[in-house]
Amino acid sequence: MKRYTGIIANTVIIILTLSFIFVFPSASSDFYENEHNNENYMCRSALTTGYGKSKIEYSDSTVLLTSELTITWRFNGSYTQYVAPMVCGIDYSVAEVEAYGGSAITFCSSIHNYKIGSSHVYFVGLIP
Amino acid sequence: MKKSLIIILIILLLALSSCNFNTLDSFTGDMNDRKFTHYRQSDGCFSQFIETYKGTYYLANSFVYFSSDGISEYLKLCSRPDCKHNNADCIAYVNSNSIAYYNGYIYYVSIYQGSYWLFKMNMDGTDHINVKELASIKERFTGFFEHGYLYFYKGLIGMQGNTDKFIYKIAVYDNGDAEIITDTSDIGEICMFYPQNEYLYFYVYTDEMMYSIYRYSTAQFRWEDPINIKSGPGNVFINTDKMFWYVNGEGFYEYTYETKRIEHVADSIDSGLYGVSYNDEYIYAFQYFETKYSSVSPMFYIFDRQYNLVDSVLIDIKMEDYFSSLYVTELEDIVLISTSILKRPPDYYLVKSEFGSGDITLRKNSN
Repeated sequence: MKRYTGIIANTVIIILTLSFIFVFPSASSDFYENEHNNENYMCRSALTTGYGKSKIEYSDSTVLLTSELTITWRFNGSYTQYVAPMVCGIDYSVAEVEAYGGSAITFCSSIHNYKIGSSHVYFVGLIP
Repeated sequence: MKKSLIIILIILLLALSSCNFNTLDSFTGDMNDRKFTHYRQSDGCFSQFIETYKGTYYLANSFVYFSSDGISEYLKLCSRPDCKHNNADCIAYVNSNSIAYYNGYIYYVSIYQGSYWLFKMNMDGTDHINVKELASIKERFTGFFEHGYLYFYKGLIGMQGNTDKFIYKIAVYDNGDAEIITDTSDIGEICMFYPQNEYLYFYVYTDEMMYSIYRYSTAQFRWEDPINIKSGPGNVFINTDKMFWYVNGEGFYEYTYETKRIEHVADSIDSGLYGVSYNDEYIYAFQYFETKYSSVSPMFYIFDRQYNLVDSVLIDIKMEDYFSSLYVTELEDIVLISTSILKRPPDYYLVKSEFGSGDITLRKNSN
């Protein structure tokens, strides 16, 4: 029993050490599902230091959907953060929008906002 | 014979006086307003702050705030008694990331019916009017105001996927269409640009921490050779004759357009990370927190334009955004400071008359 405890303890220490040594690409994402006028909708949001995405899907294909994405970023070599103009996708059934960072900038945070018709149904903020 | 010569001379003089030699002639507003309508290159934020003859305006979280003198309380620009000022129904909500002043109106760009539109409103926040359509949602949009014009391109700053390489210019005050003023295809992927009097300045990211800065003359319609520097737009100031910049760990540099010479003019402040703002009388160097939970408060250094240290002050307040600029802008008598430049209006200030006394007080804005 003592031997197993030692192995487990060592494994935990190794995992902890490795997690500090290796820097995994920072990313965050969010998934949200709910109903609007008795129809199902899903919102998927994602942000990494160089990529952002907002996507909404809605069962009722007759209503216009809007995915809005606003990204805060900074120039490499500088530290001040700026807000990029909002980008958005507008469509029926599925509305999505993506933003790819160029080599000169790093994404710092994002706001994902979703609308069904003119109704705001969900928003979320992400940090990579 | 003499009479004919005089008549010819008068005709020549009249013809020459009507020629448009530079962009100053195309300014149609009140000439006293030019100090309010220039692109604020030295600010710690992009196009969030404007100064007008009525007071100062600040854009944060898509809401426009107003303060009569820059240090009185910033209130959302909405006087509706029944409004809670917390959603898109409030008239202070403009859903934009840049504002500008011109000839008695506040201008901004926002999304309307699937496109980016130029909007204007009265200075009290009433009567929002969509003036002109600028670009479609798919094209995207980035633009900067100066002296009654909006300079823009159909893409996003620094991001991939921009396909239209033209720079457009459009007057905010009439019904005219946008005109293409230059094509950036030959200079590479631009990550930033802004107008400054007759020039447009373009930043192109070339390598690890290296930016090439191009200049295009809108009066002479020509490009100049780029200058390669190790600093992003936050630490650079450019005027007609010179470029000034600061590189963390290296110091201050200057470039003279006429001689094409780069000079290292002063050493670095210390080993910390600094943003630098160049103004008429002073250069401000403001420190960034290096880690999220830094226990050390940032320093604010004041230099004269010959790089002599005038004074310094510890910004001993809790900063909400550790990677944001604490410096907002300089007004005639004060320097504005913010604990969260993106989320709220300036909340602290320094008084310029105390610079050089060795005893600068960080003051809180009145609420």
